[in-house]
Amino acid sequence: MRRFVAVLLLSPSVAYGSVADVFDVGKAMGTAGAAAATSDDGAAAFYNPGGLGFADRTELSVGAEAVRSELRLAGDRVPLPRPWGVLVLGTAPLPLAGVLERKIAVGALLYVGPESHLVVAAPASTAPTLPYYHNRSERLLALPVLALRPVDAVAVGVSANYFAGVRGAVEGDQVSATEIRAAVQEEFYSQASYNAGVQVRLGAWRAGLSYRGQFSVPVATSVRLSINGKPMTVDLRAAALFTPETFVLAAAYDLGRLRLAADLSWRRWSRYRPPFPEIDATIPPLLPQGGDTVSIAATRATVRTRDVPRLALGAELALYDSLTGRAGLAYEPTPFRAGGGLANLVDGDKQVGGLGVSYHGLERDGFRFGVDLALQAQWMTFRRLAKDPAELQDELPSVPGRQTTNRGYEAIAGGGLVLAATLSLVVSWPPADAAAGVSP
Amino acid sequence: MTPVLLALLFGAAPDQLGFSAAGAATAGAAVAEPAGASGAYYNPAHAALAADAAAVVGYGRALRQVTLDGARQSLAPVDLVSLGLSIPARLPVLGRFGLSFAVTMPGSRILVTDVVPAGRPRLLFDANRLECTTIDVGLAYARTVGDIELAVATGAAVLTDAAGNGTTFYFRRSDAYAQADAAVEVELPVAMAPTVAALGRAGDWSFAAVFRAALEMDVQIGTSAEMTIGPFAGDLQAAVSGTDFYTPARLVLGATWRHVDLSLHLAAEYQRWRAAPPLTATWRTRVEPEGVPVVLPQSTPVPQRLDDVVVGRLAVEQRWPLRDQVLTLRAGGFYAPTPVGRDAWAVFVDSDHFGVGLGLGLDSTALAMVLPRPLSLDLHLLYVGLRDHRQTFAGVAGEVPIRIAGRLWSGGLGLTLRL
Repeated sequence: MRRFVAVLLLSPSVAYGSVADVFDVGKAMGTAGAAAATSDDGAAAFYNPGGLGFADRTELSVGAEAVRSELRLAGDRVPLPRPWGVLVLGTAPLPLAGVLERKIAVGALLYVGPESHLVVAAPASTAPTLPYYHNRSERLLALPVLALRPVDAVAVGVSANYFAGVRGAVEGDQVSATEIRAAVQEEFYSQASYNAGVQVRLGAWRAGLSYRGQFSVPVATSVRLSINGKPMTVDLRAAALFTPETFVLAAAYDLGRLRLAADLSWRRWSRYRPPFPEIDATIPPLLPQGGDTVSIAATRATVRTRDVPRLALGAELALYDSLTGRAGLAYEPTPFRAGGGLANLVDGDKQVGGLGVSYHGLERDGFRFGVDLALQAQWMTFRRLAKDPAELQDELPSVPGRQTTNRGYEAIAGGGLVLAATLSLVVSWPPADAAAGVSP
Repeated sequence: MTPVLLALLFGAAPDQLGFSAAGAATAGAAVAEPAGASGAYYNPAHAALAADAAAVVGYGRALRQVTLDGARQSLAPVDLVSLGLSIPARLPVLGRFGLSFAVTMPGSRILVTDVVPAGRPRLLFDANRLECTTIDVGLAYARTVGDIELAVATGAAVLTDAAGNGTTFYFRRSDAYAQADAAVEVELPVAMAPTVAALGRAGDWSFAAVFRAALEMDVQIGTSAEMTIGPFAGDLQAAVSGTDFYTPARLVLGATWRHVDLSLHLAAEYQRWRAAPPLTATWRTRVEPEGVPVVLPQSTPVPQRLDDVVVGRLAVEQRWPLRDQVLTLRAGGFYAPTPVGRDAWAVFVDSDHFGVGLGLGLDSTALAMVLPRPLSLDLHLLYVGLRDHRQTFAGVAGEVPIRIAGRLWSGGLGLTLRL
């Protein structure tokens, strides 16, 4: 029996970026992400898991989050695929007694796209790309969180950024000259990184310290084919959907009905790996008349990045007892250094503005109902990336001049606006022991 | 003989091993009155009638032994973690509602899929059917009509497909220039199967009906190459597709009779296997050089025949109130005919199987100083046997007789916290 073997090993990284990393979630969208010192609902799983320790009510928030891109690259508008999803935030102080009363809380942040749990889109190394927005939010986000409040003024917490990796194999047996029988083996393995934080509340002051782990797994694909006895091998490696390790130092101060907050983040983009697949291939002669087997090494495109700070300033104003307005501004310089070689990654400084409003004024039988609305605008400064012709290989030496198919030559520019919005319905109720007659 | 790939074809892990220790001990028969948060899987309508919100965390391990023609197959143990949450809520104006959420996860893996070629025997008592995370969510509504409490629920079982454009390679080579580049696209689309459930209580009786639509995972993996290599210029495309984790549409009818501290559970489950799509992989290859036709082999479909079956389940629970605790003993069993016939045409190997479960539960207030509500600890043991069975298998080498026998042991524990 002749053998036809095709093996495709697929182990893509599947859980780096998330919608929270790029566009913020929940009420924090209205404060441009300034939330590490104040967040105490399910969104604390991302901003500061310690904040959940101050939750005094069980709360469930269900809503939607959507984005719209007006980004432009090389003169073309760049839409963001799969631009909306369902956002669920949950908070529950555990009904414990004695020394543990009001000391432990659990919660979760869940973002689910309507179509897919995950999309990995690793572009070719010379494809023009906006790396800050490309394929960084197209995945399910699930962050369960546990928080402890050992003393009244201090709470600590940890959350798990949980998702799956994929690896597998495809095999085909050629059982006759005209028939192949194939098998697929795939494994979706779980993986997680962790967020942790501490939040302190002393009088009018609040402070927070938060850590978010880098979450990355490399892509590795190996294809081995033998077509009518002619072997073909392709090995592929890539990294996509990168989100950097982040440290956040935050403070907030209450001025009566007004609360001011500031978050200073340090984002370790220097560990960035470009998403381009790298390949090594051996291609057999495919024409019936034969020919030579060809070996081609991978294209090595390098990208230079640096760590960057992100500063966010936010304000919350209690307009009435149950109506709160929010606003915020943030700035993050680009982590991408000039001079990209073959690559065409275009990124500029980001300026972020947010507005939000919450109404939680409907109470009945111990339940409190409300609505949260927030809007955010992100402006990425236009940046022009010029190619040095000396860095590009002459693809047709027989033709006068330097011939190249690199789409970034001579220069490429990109930037523009991204709009995001979120709307959630919220219901909360006090712990059972504090609400006589209520049986939620 | 041809290596046997491991898959348990007759349903997701909770169907075979039970959801939580209480569910496993009652062999899945307690559909009308599931214990605690196990109703999040067995009957989402139960959440609206439950007295308390409850969360259950369970762990179980299954050991399997299968022989084919007397040769023992190597089957690794399977670890299962169960999480269940059931929240009844009496909302003002709107009435009594319930939310339920059930997750079963096989150890550190979310799922392992194995779509086999048509020429290999596929053992229904197989590993990768157990190694699949299942998520069930439900929303229930209840009201009282006369002396009857009625609850209805709708929900879904959530899984993923594996699809996408796969990998695209670009190769260009001439005498003086060589370039290779690639782009990868992988997508895991959301796959859901709806669930509808109803539960009624009247006096000592409870009745339930649960319908679950078929759940399956469609796998599509492709690779393509655009090549300009010397005189050759053209495309090469290869794709593999298949269906795995097929769990048939099911209609479960159940009843529970209570007398003081004794409960009897009965359930009958109709499984519609005849609607199963081809559960083997299909291969497609195409090479399109400019102006030169190349003929390559392709997959051809293999006939598949599965029959609908009815699974019967029966269980008993007895509670003994002690001083500060309540002790519960549980026992249950089920019998499941195989959907695979004895004749040829089938690419699957299977036999009828039966299960017997035993369990012990303890509701305790011993931790009242920190837990104001009782904490429940449940233990279970489950034995599943495959009846010694001979059938004819249609493989690559033609029709061959094959004999199968096997058994499974499962044990575990669950902790229920009332909120």
